[in-house]
Amino acid sequence: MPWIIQLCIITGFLLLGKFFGTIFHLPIPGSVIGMILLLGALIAGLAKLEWVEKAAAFQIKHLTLLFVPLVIGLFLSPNLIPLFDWSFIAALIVSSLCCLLGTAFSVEWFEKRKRRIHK
Amino acid sequence: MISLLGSLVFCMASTIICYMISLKIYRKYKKNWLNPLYTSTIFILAFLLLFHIPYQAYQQGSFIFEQLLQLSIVAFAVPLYKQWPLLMKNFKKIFSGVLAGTILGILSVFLMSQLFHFNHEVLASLIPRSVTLPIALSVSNGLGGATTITVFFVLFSGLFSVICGPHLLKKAGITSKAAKGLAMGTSAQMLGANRSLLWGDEEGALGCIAMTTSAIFLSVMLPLLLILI
Repeated sequence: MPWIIQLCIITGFLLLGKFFGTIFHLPIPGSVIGMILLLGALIAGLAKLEWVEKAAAFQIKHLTLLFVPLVIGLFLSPNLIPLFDWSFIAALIVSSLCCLLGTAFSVEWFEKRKRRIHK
Repeated sequence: MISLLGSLVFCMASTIICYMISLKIYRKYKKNWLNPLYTSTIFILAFLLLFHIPYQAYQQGSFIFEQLLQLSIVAFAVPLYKQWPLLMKNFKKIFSGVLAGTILGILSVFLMSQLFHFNHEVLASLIPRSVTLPIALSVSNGLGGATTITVFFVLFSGLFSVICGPHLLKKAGITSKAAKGLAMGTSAQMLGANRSLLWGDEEGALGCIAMTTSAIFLSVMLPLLLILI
């Protein structure tokens, strides 16, 4: 399928997600609802992988491009310098550590427990 | 109207051209620090400053990229679908690990916020700091955070996790492939998923799954967070 139609299908799912979010008053971002709908459609076989595969791969490959304007906005913002506050940095480091080690230890614990059950 | 159209064209053209140049440089020299995100940012900043172009001219046109970012979130259904068998096979492990990491991260943010008396805007921007940027932005918008602060927090924690993460995991005695991949994907999103690919295919695939699932968890938790915050 030509990639322009693939892009239209992905856009359709985005709009569908936003529409669902509005009518059911979901506070979840419309784009995430759209992704879940597309995933559901793919799993249920309602949509074929070939319908969206090329456009999706292209978008994800060049995701970095879409971040560039945001990073530039950050650099040119007058709020940048005050963000290097030690309390923010401390909060970021502590929460990153909790997230990283929390995931790693719970997965490790889960695997050990499973092994013990198998024995 | 004309000025809006003009800045839209200017913003798109300059960003895409700078990105393409950066990508060429990256592909030629293949160095990690030449990541197109850094080099194209430097190119555009230099371009704006050199020709004394007001930043507003660029910023006005950048809304188009925010729309495209939303589209790319939908596109993440495709890699998730491709890894669906792997996800189902390790469902409990992935679910418990990613959920534990995400919740611990949010709890620590709440604790630190109590400790340092952060205001509401900062707290709302801190909560989504571990998930991939497009989703972090929509979550932080929903909670009442600010875009620039969220971008800074997401980039900082991503870079911190990807630089210190592998070393810390080794120090902590984590040897399991799944634990390493999932931890990097949950805490350092895209950067972490890329880093875990260096360990191997299984770690990389799990890192990618962790990045997407943790982002979905956080967006689904948004109603709950709105009550708590």
